[in-house]
Amino acid sequence: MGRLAEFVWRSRFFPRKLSFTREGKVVFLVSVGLGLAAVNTGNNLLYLVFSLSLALIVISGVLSESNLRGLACSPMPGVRPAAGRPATVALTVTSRRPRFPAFSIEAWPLVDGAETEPARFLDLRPGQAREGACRLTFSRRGEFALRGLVLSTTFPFSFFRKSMVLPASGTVLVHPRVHRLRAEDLPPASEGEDEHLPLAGRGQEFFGVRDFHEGDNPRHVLHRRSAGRLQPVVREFEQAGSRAVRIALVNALPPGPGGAERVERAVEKAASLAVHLLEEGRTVGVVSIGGEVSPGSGAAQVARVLDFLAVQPSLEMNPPGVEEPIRAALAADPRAFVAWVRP
Amino acid sequence: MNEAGAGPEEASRLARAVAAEVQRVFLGKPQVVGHAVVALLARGHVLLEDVPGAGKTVLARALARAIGGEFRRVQFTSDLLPSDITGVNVWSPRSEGFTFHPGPVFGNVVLADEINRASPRTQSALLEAMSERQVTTDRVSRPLPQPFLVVATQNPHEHHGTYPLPESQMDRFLVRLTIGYPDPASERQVVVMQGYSDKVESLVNPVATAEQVLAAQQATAAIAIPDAVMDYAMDLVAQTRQAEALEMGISTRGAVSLVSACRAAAALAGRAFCLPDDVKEMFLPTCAHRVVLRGRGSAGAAAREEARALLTDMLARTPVPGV
Amino acid sequence: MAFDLLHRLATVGTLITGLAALGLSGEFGPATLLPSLLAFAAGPFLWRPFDRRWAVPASGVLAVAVGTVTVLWALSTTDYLLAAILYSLFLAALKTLFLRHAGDFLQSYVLSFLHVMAAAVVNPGLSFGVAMLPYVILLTVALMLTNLRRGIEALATSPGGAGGAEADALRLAAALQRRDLVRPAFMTATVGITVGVFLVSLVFFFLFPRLGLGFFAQQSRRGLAVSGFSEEVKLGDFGTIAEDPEVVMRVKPKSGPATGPLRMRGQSLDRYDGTTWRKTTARRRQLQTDVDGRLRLAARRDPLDVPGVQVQEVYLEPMLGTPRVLFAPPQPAAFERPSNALEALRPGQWRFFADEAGDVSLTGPPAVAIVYTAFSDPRPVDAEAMRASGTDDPEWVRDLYLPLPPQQEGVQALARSLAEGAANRYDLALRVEAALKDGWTYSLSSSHGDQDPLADFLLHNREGHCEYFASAMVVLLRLQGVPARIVNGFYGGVSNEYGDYVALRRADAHSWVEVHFPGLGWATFDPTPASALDLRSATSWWKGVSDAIDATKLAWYRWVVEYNLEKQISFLSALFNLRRGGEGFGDSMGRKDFREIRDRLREVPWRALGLGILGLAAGAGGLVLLARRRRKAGPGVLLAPGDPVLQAYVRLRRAMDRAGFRRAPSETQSELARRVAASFPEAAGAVQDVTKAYLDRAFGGQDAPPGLDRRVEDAIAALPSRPPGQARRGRFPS
Repeated sequence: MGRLAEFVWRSRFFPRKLSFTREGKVVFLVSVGLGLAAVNTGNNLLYLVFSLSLALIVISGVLSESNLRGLACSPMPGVRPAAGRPATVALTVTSRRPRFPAFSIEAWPLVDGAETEPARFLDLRPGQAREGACRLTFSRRGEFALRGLVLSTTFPFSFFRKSMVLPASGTVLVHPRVHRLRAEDLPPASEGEDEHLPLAGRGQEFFGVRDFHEGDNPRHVLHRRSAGRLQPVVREFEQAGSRAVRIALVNALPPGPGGAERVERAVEKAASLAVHLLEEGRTVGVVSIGGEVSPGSGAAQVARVLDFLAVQPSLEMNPPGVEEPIRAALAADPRAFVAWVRP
Repeated sequence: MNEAGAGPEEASRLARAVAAEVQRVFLGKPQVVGHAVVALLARGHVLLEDVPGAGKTVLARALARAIGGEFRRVQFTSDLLPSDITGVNVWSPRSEGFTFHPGPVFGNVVLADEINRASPRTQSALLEAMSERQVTTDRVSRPLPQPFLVVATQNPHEHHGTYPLPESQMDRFLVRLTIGYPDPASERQVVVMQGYSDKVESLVNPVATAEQVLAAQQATAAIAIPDAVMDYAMDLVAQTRQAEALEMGISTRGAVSLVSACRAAAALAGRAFCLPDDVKEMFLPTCAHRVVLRGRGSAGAAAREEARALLTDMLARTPVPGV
Repeated sequence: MAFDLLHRLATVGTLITGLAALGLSGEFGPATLLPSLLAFAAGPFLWRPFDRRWAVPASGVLAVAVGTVTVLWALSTTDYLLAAILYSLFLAALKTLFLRHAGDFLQSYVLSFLHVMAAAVVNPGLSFGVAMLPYVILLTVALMLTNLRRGIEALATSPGGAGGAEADALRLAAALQRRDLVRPAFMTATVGITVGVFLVSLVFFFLFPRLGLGFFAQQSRRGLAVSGFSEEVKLGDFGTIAEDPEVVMRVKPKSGPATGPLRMRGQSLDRYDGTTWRKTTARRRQLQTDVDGRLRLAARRDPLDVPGVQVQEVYLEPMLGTPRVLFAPPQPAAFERPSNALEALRPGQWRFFADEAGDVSLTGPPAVAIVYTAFSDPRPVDAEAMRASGTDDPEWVRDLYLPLPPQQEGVQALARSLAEGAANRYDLALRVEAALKDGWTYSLSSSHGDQDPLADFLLHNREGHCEYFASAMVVLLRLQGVPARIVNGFYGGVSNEYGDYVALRRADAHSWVEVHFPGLGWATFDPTPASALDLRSATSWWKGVSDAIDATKLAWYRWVVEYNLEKQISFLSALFNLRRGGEGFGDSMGRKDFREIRDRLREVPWRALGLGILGLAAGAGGLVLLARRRRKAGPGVLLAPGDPVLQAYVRLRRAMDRAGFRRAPSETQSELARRVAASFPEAAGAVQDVTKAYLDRAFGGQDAPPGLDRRVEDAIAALPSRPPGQARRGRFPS
């Protein structure tokens, strides 16, 4: 982060930046030693070798500069990465040079808070446009600013890394982490009502029996019935109902240390729950302090819910009345299942 | 430096032998068999879209037998859980610990039958195993056997109560194939050999070992793609991105798949380098299921035919390199 | 060529040229060089059966162990440089077994660079320069390929690829075997960058200020171990070196073109004990530089005032095991040493002495070549003056130059008979010289007894080489009471057609005679038959080649090894003033500097340089041609117009065209062939064979199959020449 910030700061004044690679440092140190040895001994052959190393360094610096000239990078397409999971972004680099090809080009978006793995191109012919994939990994959810697009190269000798920041702006919305839920992770019951959430993707009501297929859960084998038919049979269950589930997220800082971290966990849990239920084809809505996503289903609803959860702040509120705004919102649809998620 | 010792010749010998063995029981469809072998060589997976009863099981079983691998079958149903595919940790009172019971995905050739019947969550468990070539349960990753080929089937004519694979997941299959009805002569033979699906194992002989298949896969990856052929393939890919009728063209992964399928097709044809013919042959099977028609999505038999027509048109309009 | 192979070849080339720079110094025996050479050449290609998981730590342990042993060994022998070189060779050899990632390759280049640094210290010869040239090229290429390898590695593991580490490794292995990664554009860029690196290196070399501080100044220069010139002359030792073409001295005439053979006097010998000549003069005085920076020998006013004075610039190779003397034509008057910043900081490093015999000796760092200018007085001593000089020799001359061991009666009689009728010392000397020249035969192979070889030569054998002739003359003169001495030096020389200088070789070592004339000094006589000397300097058929090599050697020493602040400043100021001169700044100054530049430019061995540049251009052209060839024959690039397979296929296509089968732009060649085959089954085989040959050639880079032309004829014969019911349309577009 620190290095990145410094980089951005510098890029305002110097649109290009030159830094040594690890090998470049070694070569530079060897050259300095060689220069000292040459000056000390007056041995002209040492001067000759020293000149070679200087020439390699100078050519390296000059070529890395000219290697970036005339290159442009397409604006970054909109992505919605999830925290902690690498998101792949396609970038197109275009060479507007009339004659010389460019070699060993890397490109990546400069985004706050992102670990980036650049898109790489071995070469770009004059006038050619190529698409490459780079990977962004964010450690936490939220909205992050795009500072620019970086083009970078270590051509020709890997001694220097020359980078150029092209202006670009925008934001990247990072969704909360979504975990795969297991049955025991799911909240047991909704608030105040003795109705259980029909989770895990199947109804609870006994529907009938059918033949065992490979892949069926062995726990559902009806052994007595199977014994009678000389072939395993399993229970089948009723499909889940169509009533909406509303997830109530209490995004208030709990008292005690580590409160912010606990809110984050709660947001992740709400997100995971929502995605889990939506993938099962159910209707899900989310209510938090200060906001709400009305119930819906399908892939679009997944995006709406995650967008909403990405930017939910951790609020500082006093314990007694914290949940009141949520309860008020929930009152609009008393038929819905309610799953409370608290920090 | 080439420790595996298998060159392109060895790869094509193996590919042809496997294809020939499979064709002993899977009659009248040499092209489908060829493309399945291409998927095997290119370390890809096969999506079969067809009506039931076209012989999908026979194809997968024969393939598994021919490469001396283990065949597993999963019938996808709406209540199938991810762990039903990948396997579960079961408490074992005797050892007082969890022991892992591998799921049916632990096979060399896995037939995922009617994949669109299971929930997206279950589907994605399979798809994840397909691309990662490993299974992670309770933070323990277990590699899947090698070679690993998934033959997934879905019935394009059935919509009720199914979850069609989303576009992004279709991308994970190297090729999408349709078998169709055999020609009358072959069908007659099929009928004569009725019930032959049980006898696949006795009719097909193993002609390769797992190691040989892996070496062949490696040799296939090293097959040369001449620049002109690469340019031709990329030209086609670029056209799918520019086409008006397509909402989504071929992704970078799709382009990579096309190229690796071309390599495998070259190997199957007994060449150490690719020709434009390989691109032409593999373009539809590897790309038709990856494009999204504007306003229609990729699912359904009608959309499939429309996409195929569009891509065929592109092939007819793109000049081939060479004199 | 597969990328990986190309990269490994470039690496091997870099390592081996670096090793060559070191090995050509001659400091290391085959026990060091051969294992290194083998390891460098084979290591990168070896099949590595070992598992990196234990091999890497094991090699680390090995490196540390060998390092410890080396340090101990270095401490005991105190030869730290040698220890460091040996250890870096070992490390590089070890590293060649572990070349896997770009970083490994870079490490091996750093080690190779260390070898070249070490070579710069131990190998000052031209061989270093010769190795340096390919080294610069190979290192640049290798570095660029390493950069490309890094890109390939990153791509193989970058997003978009699936399958985890194992798949990454497979993808990487496959990518490294690809042949199309090094494209013609990359090759062109490589050639351009190599030339750039080379030129920039030269600019840096000539411009980097030579402010030598010399804290650890240590020049390890090897000289010639043997020379035809030595402190004492034992009769009969000369023969072995007579054919040695090693150049010991290069003389550049400054006062006019050289005419005839050069005589470079070295040192005189006074004492003869019957078999061996020795120098016994021990009194010597140190020569001081005068206001002009010259070392003056004679009391004469100024040697430069004399019209037609001989001025010669001499490059004297170090000669180990011999007395260090300054050579000059007879009657040297003064010497001038080019000032050197390094020497200015360490006065007294070089000291010059003159003894009573007029020989100039020096002390200084051993085994360093010296450059000096000799001024000598060319005025021939007037014969009449010599005839009139009498016999009134000073005491010290008599003491030194008359004693003789007892001589046989025959020799004494010979001396007497030669002296008969000689009116003066000069005529006597001329007569003895002429008698020896005419009456005795030059031979390199004759052998004489150990007891009194001279008497054997004079009385019986009458065959010998220059030392016999010179000794005989001195003995015969001394027997007659004439002070005479033997002089060692070099005579002859081959003028170098590339460098405008005369090279004296070891084989040109020669002995002659100086006779003393009271009041006039010493005069030179040479009793050796002249034809013998001509014979010795006979040119060999490869003179042109050896001249070019020797000129290059001289240029190497003058412009690289001996390049110094002085040369640099005069070079720069001349350049600077040349530019300023145009603006009317100090006209005389500008002209003088212009002259200086012109002189400097004249010194450049243009023809040798031209040959070198031609060689470089040929090499670069070869590289480009190689790239072209790749483009022509390589997979992925379609065929050149003259390609035989293409021509065969075009003939077939014309025939198909005539038969009404035209390839649509989107149709592949095989599809066309199948279409034709379906209509003309009798042509099917031939058509498909020719099509396959074309595709194999155009896309697979394979050679034409045997009998291709016959198959084309078969196909043409089986195809109808005109489409049924269709008029012939335009020609096939090629």
